[in-house]
Amino acid sequence: MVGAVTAVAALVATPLISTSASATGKSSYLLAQKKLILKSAEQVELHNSSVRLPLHRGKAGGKTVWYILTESSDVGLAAVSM
Amino acid sequence: MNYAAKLTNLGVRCAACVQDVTQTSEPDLKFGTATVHFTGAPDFSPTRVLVPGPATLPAAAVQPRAGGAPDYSPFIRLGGSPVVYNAPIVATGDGPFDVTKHTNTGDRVLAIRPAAPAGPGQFTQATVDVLVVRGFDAGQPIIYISTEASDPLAAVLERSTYVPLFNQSSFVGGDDALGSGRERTFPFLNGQTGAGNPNAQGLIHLIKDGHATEDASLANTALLAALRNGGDARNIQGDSPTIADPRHALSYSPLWDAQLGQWTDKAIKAGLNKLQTDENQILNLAATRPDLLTGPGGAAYGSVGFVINCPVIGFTHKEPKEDLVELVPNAQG
Repeated sequence: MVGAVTAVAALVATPLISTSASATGKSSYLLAQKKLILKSAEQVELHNSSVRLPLHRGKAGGKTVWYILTESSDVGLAAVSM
Repeated sequence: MNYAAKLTNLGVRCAACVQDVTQTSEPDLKFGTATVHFTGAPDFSPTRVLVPGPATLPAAAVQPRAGGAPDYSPFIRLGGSPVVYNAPIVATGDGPFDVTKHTNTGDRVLAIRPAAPAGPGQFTQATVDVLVVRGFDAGQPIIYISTEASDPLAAVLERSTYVPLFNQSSFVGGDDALGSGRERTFPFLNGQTGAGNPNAQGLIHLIKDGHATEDASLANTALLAALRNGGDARNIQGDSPTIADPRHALSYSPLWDAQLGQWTDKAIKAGLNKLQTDENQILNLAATRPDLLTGPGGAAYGSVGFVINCPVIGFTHKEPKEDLVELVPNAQG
């Protein structure tokens, strides 16, 4: 069982960021769309470690608040709601 | 959105964990979203404080920036609907938004882009850039965000809103049990440290090497560089929506029940406190080698009670599909 704690060699050798060339030839740090689990995420920028999400306006106590939506307990609404 | 069936259980024994909200819309709306009216919201104005102690942890001083109002929960239910959504509030007010000191935004908000003016027949959307966290699931690197935590230190380290109410969420140690809204996460207290150390992991590593005492912003390039090069705590998630076995994919919940692990002196001296990336490997260690891995202070391994709200965003290498090893008999699987 102790051997399990050393079973990380492949990951140790894996860079934590990946880059790809954009159409302009400049380096891009955008995560490939196919690697997004949260489909409402517009993009993940790996150099600054940020995800761009839709931002929704709401109210609380008469004041403006801004929220994101990430999960739903209904499988169908999770698929279609943004 | 991510599908999380367990959100249905968040009101079990904690009715306030799900906030009942109302919704209004303009009668002349052509296309778009209605306004959600929350009953409570975070206060982002307090100063976030983290002063490491002599041994890093326990900390000498801890104060989360954002405290939720007593009736704040990101988990909402629209009147008339049984569906529960995860809708964390990440900013307050009408701007300008402070994305450097975060006096009116969450600690992970790096940029807010208001919706561009929309012409007739058009729709535009406001967006927010949120600092992600790098971790692991089923042996693969994943990224997620962190928005709320029920423990003050966790809220500071996670750069999230402090919501002690969630300590009552159903239920401590519940994971996949009947009535549970939680899924497990497996942070380490005292993994290895060192910037650039591929085996670095844990809360002490985050404080020492991840610039945890500083505010996150696009201007803090040293912090961003540290995090993209392994400076996060590198926590391990229990079940991702991508896992091939539906039993595990459907176990996903963003409300993570912390199983805080502590390597023993024996493990450290033997150099066994290496990077962990898979829940089953950790659970097997806990079940078979309590001389190497325990809970905090030598306690029995398992849930320590607090939770963090961590919606999963994606994976950076291969899709997490299955755990690296099978569980041994009598492991906490």
